[in-house]
Amino acid sequence: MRPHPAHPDVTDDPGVRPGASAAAVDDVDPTPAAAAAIGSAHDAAWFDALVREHGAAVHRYLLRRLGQAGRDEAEDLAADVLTVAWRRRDDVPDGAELPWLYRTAGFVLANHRRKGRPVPVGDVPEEVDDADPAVLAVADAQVRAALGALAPRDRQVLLLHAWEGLTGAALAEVLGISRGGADAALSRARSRLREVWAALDA
Amino acid sequence: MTDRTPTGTPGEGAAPRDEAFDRLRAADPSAGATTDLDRLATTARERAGLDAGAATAPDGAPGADGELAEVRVLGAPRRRPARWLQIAAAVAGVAIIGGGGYALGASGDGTTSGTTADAAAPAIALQDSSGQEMAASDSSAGGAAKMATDRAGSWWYGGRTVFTQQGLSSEAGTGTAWGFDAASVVNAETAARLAQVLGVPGEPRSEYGSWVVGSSDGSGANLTVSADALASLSYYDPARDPWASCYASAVDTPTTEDDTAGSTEPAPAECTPSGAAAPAGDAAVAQARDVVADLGLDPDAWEYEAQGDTGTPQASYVTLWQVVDGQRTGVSGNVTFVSDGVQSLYLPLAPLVDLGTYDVVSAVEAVQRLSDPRFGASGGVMPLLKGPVAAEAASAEPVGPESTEPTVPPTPTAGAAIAWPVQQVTLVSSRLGVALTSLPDGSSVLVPSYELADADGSTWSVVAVVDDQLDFSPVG
Repeated sequence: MRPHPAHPDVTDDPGVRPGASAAAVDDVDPTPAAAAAIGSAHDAAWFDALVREHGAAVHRYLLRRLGQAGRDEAEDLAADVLTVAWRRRDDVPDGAELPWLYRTAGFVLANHRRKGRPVPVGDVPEEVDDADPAVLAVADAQVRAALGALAPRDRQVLLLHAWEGLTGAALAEVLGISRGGADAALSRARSRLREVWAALDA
Repeated sequence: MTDRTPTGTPGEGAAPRDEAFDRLRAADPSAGATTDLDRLATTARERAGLDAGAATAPDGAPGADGELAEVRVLGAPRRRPARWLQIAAAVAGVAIIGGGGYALGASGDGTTSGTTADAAAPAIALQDSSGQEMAASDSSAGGAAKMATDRAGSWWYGGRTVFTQQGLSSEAGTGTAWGFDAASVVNAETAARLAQVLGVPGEPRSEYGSWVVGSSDGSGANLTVSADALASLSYYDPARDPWASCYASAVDTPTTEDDTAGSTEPAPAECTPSGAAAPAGDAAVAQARDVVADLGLDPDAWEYEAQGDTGTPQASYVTLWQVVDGQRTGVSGNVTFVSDGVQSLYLPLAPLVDLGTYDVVSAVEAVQRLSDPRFGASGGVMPLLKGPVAAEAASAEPVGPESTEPTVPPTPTAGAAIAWPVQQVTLVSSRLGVALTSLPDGSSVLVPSYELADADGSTWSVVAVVDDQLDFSPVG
């Protein structure tokens, strides 16, 4: 995982937060795990910490998949993902927040791709093609061509691994499948990528 | 070229170089991008309805975008089988295929049916192997689908439905399945013969597996026999398009209307077609039957519906519905007539192949299958709407029937039971027929299926063939 960027102007201001729980240490962003350790539920303090810790990662996830045209929307959609995290705060697993957020981001992105029309949930495909190669702002033409030649599922797995750096249990969590399934899916996807790449090289 | 480092060479590292993956990783489009975390945090807090404190005044209203999908999708446990999400998608298909043809036209705006006595039973719709609804090939499908989906309150509950049955039969039975022999007709000879019938000059040529006669750039008549599961025939003659004079005179300006329809018609609003009237009503149906016979197909294998008054007498439309064993199969075609003949035509050509008799489960077992992840539940839509209700539903948003302005949702009470609606459905009638579905190899079949209905007439469908005669091997 990438280290989160430094935020010199983040302060823990108890006056901002409703609720009884206090922040942890003043000079470190309280992680959600730390907040849980203090005995708070997933309250506003927890949410603030979640946003500070993972907001940038969610934003990058969306930036990567929205292409040049969607750069402005990435932040807007990131805010949506975090809003969902608040509404579903009891679902967000302690210690595995980021995979949950990535999974949510995938659904938010898929819905957004339908131009933001409210759609009955049945129309949201189970298989989220969160990386339309035509949209990806990938400068490397061969990489773009290789991605285009892959099945959506292979693409999804590969990008989660190559760009979000997910493996193992975290990758399985985002994909919504078993650990073994995720390992196998990644192995297959990498193998397919090599095949496609070799064909492009030829 | 890829320079593969031999494995096992000491000092090179254990894994062979994977140039493809390295390049992929390096191609991260977000490299160098920054996130304004303060702004993101403020926005997220506002949308979450949390007190933003010293920042801007909080806007407590929840964003509507994405909420519909988000609320339901995230409520699903992670291991839930894929099918339950597809139920509302299946809803869309049933509205198109079942009942009286055009959803809008069913209520007596002049639609003429080609059959007199017994109209065929409605088609049964199933999902195909990819989970998409098998809709009839009809360009108006999109609009009709949206309408029924919006109106049917049952879709809101997604897959949380418990099915029971009352009074259904527990007797197993048999049903006939049908395949489509597209391979026998997708060839140059068919294209050449049909081109002669429809008057398209030229020799057939192969384009991406399909056979084409005539011009492909819109400058002249075109006939195509497509290499798809139904051996679709499509024909059109731009010169006989009643709006042809409008296109010719229109300046090529980009459309300023919304792009969502995807059409780029350059016809100015004031241009109306002129010319002799096309045959309509019964005359159109009679002509359609003649066209089918001329093409070498059996006119009695189809039901015909001439669309009522379209406001343009120069063109009339007839929809054809394939019928097998007294039931519409879901396969359809259409013909556009102008005063002197056919202007455009779409018709599946593939002859039906009798695949023999299959054992089917009883209706009671079919109900159990609705809760079986291998089969899922297709359907849940109210029967087709008529007249003004349909029009109202078309403009309604799938939020709630009484919603006018968005309002802040109520604050839940601590300790109160969490609302978790589960729909209870009691199925009281069943109909065994066939449903059009596509197989992993791309072919289409009519598979024996049940249509099950509750007392209100909402229908669900499920495949009826017994487990032993289905191949459950996964794909991919």
